[in-house]
Amino acid sequence: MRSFFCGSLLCLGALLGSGCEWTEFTAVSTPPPGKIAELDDGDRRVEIGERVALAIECSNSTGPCRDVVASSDDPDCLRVYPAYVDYLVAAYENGRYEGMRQASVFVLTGQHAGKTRLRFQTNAGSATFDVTVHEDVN
Amino acid sequence: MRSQLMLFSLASAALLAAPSCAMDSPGALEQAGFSAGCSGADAVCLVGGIDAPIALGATLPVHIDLHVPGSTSPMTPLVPVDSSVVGAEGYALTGKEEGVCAVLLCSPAGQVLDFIHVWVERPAHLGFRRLHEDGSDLGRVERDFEMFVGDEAYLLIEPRAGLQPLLGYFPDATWSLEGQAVALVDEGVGHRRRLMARTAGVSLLRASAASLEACVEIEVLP
Repeated sequence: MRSFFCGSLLCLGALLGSGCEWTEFTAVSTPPPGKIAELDDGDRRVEIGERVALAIECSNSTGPCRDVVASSDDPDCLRVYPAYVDYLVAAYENGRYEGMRQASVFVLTGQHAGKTRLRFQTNAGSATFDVTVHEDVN
Repeated sequence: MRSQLMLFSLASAALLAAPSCAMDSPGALEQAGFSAGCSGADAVCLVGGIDAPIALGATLPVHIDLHVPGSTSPMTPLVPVDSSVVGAEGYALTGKEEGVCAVLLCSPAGQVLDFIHVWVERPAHLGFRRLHEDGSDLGRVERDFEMFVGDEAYLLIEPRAGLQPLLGYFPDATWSLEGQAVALVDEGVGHRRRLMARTAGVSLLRASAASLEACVEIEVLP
């Protein structure tokens, strides 16, 4: 959401769809009962439990994110994997519908309790999340 | 445009997500079903999906049904997030430490195809489960039982936590028998044992695993 508003402010002249970019992320899985796996796209925060996995979908002004480079500052704390998903999402180029493209999904795994950062570089901007991996107390 | 994207995304997901088999546990991405994979002669198969914790120290063979439209299943290694909690060897998971652990199903290229959270729990006690010869489940052995000479019975060790059966078998389980009334046969199929009533009398069957023991008395009637 934050990136959307920033993008809107910075791209007032982009009503025709030229150059106005935003990137957003949505959780597409739920944690197991009693465990934590949450993504707050507005504040760019992720809260996840140790040994818990969370799938998130990346989309931007062109549809599903493309050319994504995802990385964790501390893979011993949090890892990020590309995922293959079998569903399609509408894609756009310069405001024009370009057909359907495979969704862009990543899986995060909480490895060990701690704090780190998760970074995405996409075809339409970048995003950085502050990540807290919570200790699993059973 | 964002709402349009979201609508398309949701509609696509709803239309294209393959329904999972009722007998397996769907992965978080609903692209694979996970079930206990083993011989039909083994009651661990009867529970279908991975719908209970794996017993600490037990091994659970896993069968995977990949539901990706238009594709057969590539070799898909199982990757536990923490192998000190859940071990993976081929398509078998082993409960190594109590807790919960995500297990990733990955393509050969390293993409996650699906994942499932697996629980590991320490068994509180062991019991026996009785099977029909064809592997169908006759239920828990609740008490000592009787057989006629010539009868056969098939038994399996069932780890339990309270009333809940746990999943998996113990590779290092030991079986022993006191008395000559029945004979105990390891047929090499699954993890069950075959009991054959040989002569009238009483035998005591014990099975040990995970520092626990199950015991049942069998009386063979003439």
